[in-house]
Amino acid sequence: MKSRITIALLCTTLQIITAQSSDTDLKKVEILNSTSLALLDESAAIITSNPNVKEFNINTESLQSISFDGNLFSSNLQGLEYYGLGKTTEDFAPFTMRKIHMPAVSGAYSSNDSLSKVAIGIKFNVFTLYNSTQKKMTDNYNLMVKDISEFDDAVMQQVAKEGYIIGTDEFNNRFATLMQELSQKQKKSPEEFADLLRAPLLTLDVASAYSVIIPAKNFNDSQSGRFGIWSTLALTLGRGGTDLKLFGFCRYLQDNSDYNSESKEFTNHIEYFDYGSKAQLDLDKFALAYEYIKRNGDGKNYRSVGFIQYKVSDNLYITGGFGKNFESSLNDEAVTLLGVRWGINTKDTRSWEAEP
Amino acid sequence: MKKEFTPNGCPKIKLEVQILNNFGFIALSTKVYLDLQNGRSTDKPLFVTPPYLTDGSIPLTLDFKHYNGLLFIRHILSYGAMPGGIAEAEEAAKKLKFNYRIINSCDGTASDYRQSDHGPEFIDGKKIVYFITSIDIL
Repeated sequence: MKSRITIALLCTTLQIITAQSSDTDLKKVEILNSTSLALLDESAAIITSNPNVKEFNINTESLQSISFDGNLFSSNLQGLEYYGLGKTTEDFAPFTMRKIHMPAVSGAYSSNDSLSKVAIGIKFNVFTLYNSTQKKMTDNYNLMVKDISEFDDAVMQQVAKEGYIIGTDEFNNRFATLMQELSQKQKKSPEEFADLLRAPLLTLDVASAYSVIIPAKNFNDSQSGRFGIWSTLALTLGRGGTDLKLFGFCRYLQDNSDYNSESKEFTNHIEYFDYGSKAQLDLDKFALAYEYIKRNGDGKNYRSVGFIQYKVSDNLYITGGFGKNFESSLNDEAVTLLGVRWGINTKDTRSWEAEP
Repeated sequence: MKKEFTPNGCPKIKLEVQILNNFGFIALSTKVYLDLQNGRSTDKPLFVTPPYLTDGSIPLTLDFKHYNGLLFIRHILSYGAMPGGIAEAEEAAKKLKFNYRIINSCDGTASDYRQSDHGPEFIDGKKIVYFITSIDIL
């Protein structure tokens, strides 16, 4: 019953998101930010932060798992509300909590031969801190607007002077040609404002997720899986193409899905408290990162994973993780990379046995 | 399809322009020109996004005489803050929404128009993209 409710919730959420977006772009794959997969410990990186508003995305990290995520209430954003700054320059502030009104929701489905898992999650950006002052932000924005406006006016005057009739294809073509030519001759536009928005100094995200497990893919046997609530603090040093990001992470996890192969039953209500950190270096098309998470509570454990992300194109990322995951009866301990298993420590891995 | 507005003999109209942008573009400005279609193109905008607005919109204007000319509207946005650069912007630009509303000043009836006619045109050197829309006042 619980699984059916969860699946219904998943479908409803999916419909809400797709209804907000004019179309679903399967090519727009970004795989580092699914709250649901993070709950299941099945993503290459658990510690992630992306405070930007997103369209609906479908993520696939392996053939056995698929997830989606997107922001609610983001379809009518105007001005710089996307960055939490509002519609006017008077709304500019280096510290903003406006994005809390646009939570990111996600869902995940994960399956192997004997077990399926379904998860849903929600994440809020509690605050974003930009490395600037209100005056400096306004000045840099105005500088950008002024530069482009003068550039645009110069092209418009030239096309009109050449006698092209406004509104005709000839006018539009000449305008485009002159825009390109003049942009090559002129110096670069001021980029301070855009750089500032691209790399906030500090962000705090809070997330929560819930999952059910479905043994032997039989809905009647489904039961509560995991519930988790966690926060992620992200500090970004540097701007532009090369950034160093440092993350702090803590998570409360209630796990009802630990399988005891002797009693052939799931152990109920195991509680964990995870905390960890991650360092990530973004270098143009590559992102290199390492995360370590210590697990306390009803079981001592740790996760130690390095990962690499390569931007094949701006719409397609390939991510791989390698290292040691948390030990669990339901998760493989080795983290995989695109179906290629890079196990480092496989001894002590407990095996999953399906109930007869 | 060509956009046309019939003023029904009323010499004055009002205009409102909006950009719905939930993709990370920085909307820089919208400029509205009124071309009289007399063979001499104007290069001075009639309306420009007020400097304090960051959404590239034109709030509802006061009444103005249209002279049965051509409203020529250009939007300019920057993709400089988008982490995915121009490729991300190319995908997102196709989904931007533009709303235009013209109100007949005599009887208050409004006509709404959607989407631009021309664009997106990307200017790499400035990290900007622009769109053009024309509305013929018959």
